[in-house]
Parts: sequence; C-alpha cells; structure tokens
Amino acid sequence: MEHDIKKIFESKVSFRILFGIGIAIVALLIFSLGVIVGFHKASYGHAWEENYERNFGFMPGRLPLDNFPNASGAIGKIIKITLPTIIVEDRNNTEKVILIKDDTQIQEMREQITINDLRIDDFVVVIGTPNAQGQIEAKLIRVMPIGI
Amino acid sequence: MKDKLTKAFKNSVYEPNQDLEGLIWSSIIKRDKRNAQFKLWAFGLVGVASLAGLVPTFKILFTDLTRSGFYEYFSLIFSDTGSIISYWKELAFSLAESLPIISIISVLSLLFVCFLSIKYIMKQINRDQLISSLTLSI
Amino acid sequence: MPQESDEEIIILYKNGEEEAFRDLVNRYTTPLYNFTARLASKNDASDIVQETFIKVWKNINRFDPKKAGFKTWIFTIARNTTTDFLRKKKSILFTDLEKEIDEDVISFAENIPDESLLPDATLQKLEDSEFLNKTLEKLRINYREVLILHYQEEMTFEEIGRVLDKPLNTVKSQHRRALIELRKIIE
Repeated sequence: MEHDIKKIFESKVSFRILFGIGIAIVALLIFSLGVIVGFHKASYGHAWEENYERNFGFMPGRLPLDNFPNASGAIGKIIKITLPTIIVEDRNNTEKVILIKDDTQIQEMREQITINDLRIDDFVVVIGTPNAQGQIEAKLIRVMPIGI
Repeated sequence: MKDKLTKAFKNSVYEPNQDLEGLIWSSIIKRDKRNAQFKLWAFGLVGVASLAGLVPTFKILFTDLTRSGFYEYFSLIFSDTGSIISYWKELAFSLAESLPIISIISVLSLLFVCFLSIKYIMKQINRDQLISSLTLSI
Repeated sequence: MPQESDEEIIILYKNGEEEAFRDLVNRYTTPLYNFTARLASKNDASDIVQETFIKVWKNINRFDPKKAGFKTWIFTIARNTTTDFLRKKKSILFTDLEKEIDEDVISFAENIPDESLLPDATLQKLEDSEFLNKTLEKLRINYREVLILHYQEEMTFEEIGRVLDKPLNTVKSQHRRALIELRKIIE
C-alpha cells in the first residue's frame, strides 16, 4: 500500500498535476494583479470624468479619453497653477488635477523646492494617489529639465 | 503435437530478398533526412521572420515606453531613494500602469519564437549531420 | 554475448543512437516478410514490410512496453498494413471469411482435444516444407494467420488476440478450427 502511494506521487501524472496547479496559481496571481491595476485606473478614470466640469470649469462636447488615464501619476507640463492644485497636461493630452498637500515633496532634480517655485510650462513627474474627486494627491513632484 | 508443428512451421519460413533489409533501412534514412531538411527550412523561415519582426517591434516598444512615461517614473528610483521608499506603493502603481503591455508581449512572443526556432534549427542541423553519416554507412 | 531485447534497442534509439533501429529492422524483416507473404503474396510482401517499418519508425514514440511487447506491436501494425493493402487491391476481406462456419467440421471434432487434432501421420506430412506451404495457401486467411503467429512466431493466444484485436476465446476457437480445417485439407 505504502509502495503504491509512493509510486503515485513519483509518477509523471502527479508531476503534471502539480505543474498544472502551479501554472494556474501563477496565472491567477498575475490576473489578480491586472484586476487591481485595472480597477485602480478605472476608478480614477470614472472620478476624473465625473468631476471634469468641477475641476476644469467647463464641460467639453466629448471627453478626450480613449483609454483610462494612469491613476497614480502624471507626466507633463504644468498648464495652470491654482494652489493648492496644479493642472498638468499629461503625455496623451489628458489634463490632470494634482492636489499638493502638506506632505507633498517637491524637487527640482535633487534639490527640494517649495510650491511657490513651480511655474507654468515646468515639466513635472508626479506620483500620488487618486481621490474620489478625480484628482491626484501628490506624494512627490519632480521638476525635470525639458526634453526628457 | 505443438512441438512438431512448431518445428515444421519454422522449417517453412519464406525468406525475403537479401537486400530487403538494406532497402528498408535506406528508405527510412531517406525519409528522416527529408523530414530533417523540411524542418530546417521551416524553422529557418520562422526564425528569420521573427528576427525581422523584432526590429520594428523593439522600436515600437521603446516609443511606447517613452510615451507612457515609464522611463520618467523609473528614473525616480534613482533620484531620491529615501523618499521613494516611502511612496513605493504609488511608484509601483505608476510603473505598472505605464507599462506598455501589448508591446512587451509582442517583443517577448517574437523573442520566444526566435529562440525556439534557433534551438530547433540547431537540432535539425545535428540530425542532418547524423543522418548523412548513416547514409554513408549504408 | 546476450542479444539486447527489443525494448532495450528502442531505449537506445530514443536516446539518440539512430543505428539501433537498424537492429530492429534486421531482426524482424524475415518474420514480417514471412507473415505478410502468407496473408498477401510474396510479390507484395516486400512493399508491405517496408511500409510496416516506416509506420513503426514514425510511431516509435507511441510504443508503450507496459501495454504490449514490441513483437506484438509490430505484428499488429504489419497485419493492419496487410489488411489495408488487400483492401486497396480489393482482394478478399478477412471479415467476409469469418462468416463462413463449417458446422459439420466443428461437430466432427467436438470431443477431440486440441493437442490431438492432428494425428502423427498428418504431422509427418507437414514436415515437408513445400507441402506445408501449399496446404497453408489453401487455408482461410484468418486461420492461416493464427497458425503462423502461434507456431512460427511462438506467440501466446493472448498476444495473438492483441495482434488480431480479438478476445482470447475467439483466438482459441479460431486456432482449433484452423487445425480442423488443416486436417480436412490434408485428408
């Protein structure tokens, strides 16, 4: 009986079963990661659309969205400064409202700067967390030289 | 009865032509060689096609990486490691969201096909050499 | 030096020793030729054997020694190849012959055990190979193949059953009928 059990577990079939289960686990983990990132983006995208008029002051005929915008950051030029918010025009021409809070770190290259040092047309990289108002609460804003 | 019958049957075996064995072996070798050459050409074509496809696909990938902002987010890791560690979650999300998944999958798929083709081409070349040596020995 | 078994040769072949397959060709060409020549004809046997070996070579990875021995497997392929060949030539089909049962012959030998179906006098006649070959030609194909496999290739009835894809009892009864018919032809 013991020998039979050992034989079963050492057989090719059991290896294939284990391998199949392993692949399924990895696939499900990757899928879950995708769902989390997708949900993250979709939530922000929805909030961004819902609050467009409130954030930007007008409502266009058709919202310029062919895909959900990145929810955790923005890269682009500052097109408007209305402290404590700035509006950044992202790479795909999506405008994002960045909310600068007390704990937001603002850097120019490696030097710390203040909120007042930000200028229109500054090229910034922002990372943060989306909120329910369709804004990105910045954790870090880094001003980069233009051309990067 | 069985033993006598077995002996009788064994004495009545039909013998084939002397060269039948050689004929059979050479026909197998011929088919094997043909298979190996066909596979060599097939994998060769696939390999070349995948290699050719990699050039524009890589270009698209680099463009997408630039456009999506992945480089900029990635560069933050080297700017101020201390503060980045505090915001690792946001940075991770930014990196994940800016990954050009389709381009990456395209490049990886073509690389996979390319390497697989090279592997099988080498296998077929070895096989072809082996079959050629067997052909000489017939 | 003891000869390698069929299974050992196959393992060698699968491990890259291409020449090992040649040993199988050398080993089985004559038995297969003899078998197929008796079912079809001497003229066709060479082609059938060649085709059999090519099929064996193509499907060698499917051979499972746990299911059946190599000899059984190769003879099964040879038999099927012969059947297909004869079918293409629109020759006699094996299944047609099986429908004919000679009831008188069966009842006559009902009480005689298999071992005693052929008396010594008959067996002595069969020792003449030419006579045996001519007699076998007169025998029905499905009886012929049972006798060849059992007495020439020394297969058991179980192995013959696998080759012919028939239950054991059918093979045994076919063997019995083959001997009865053989006797009838000789006498």
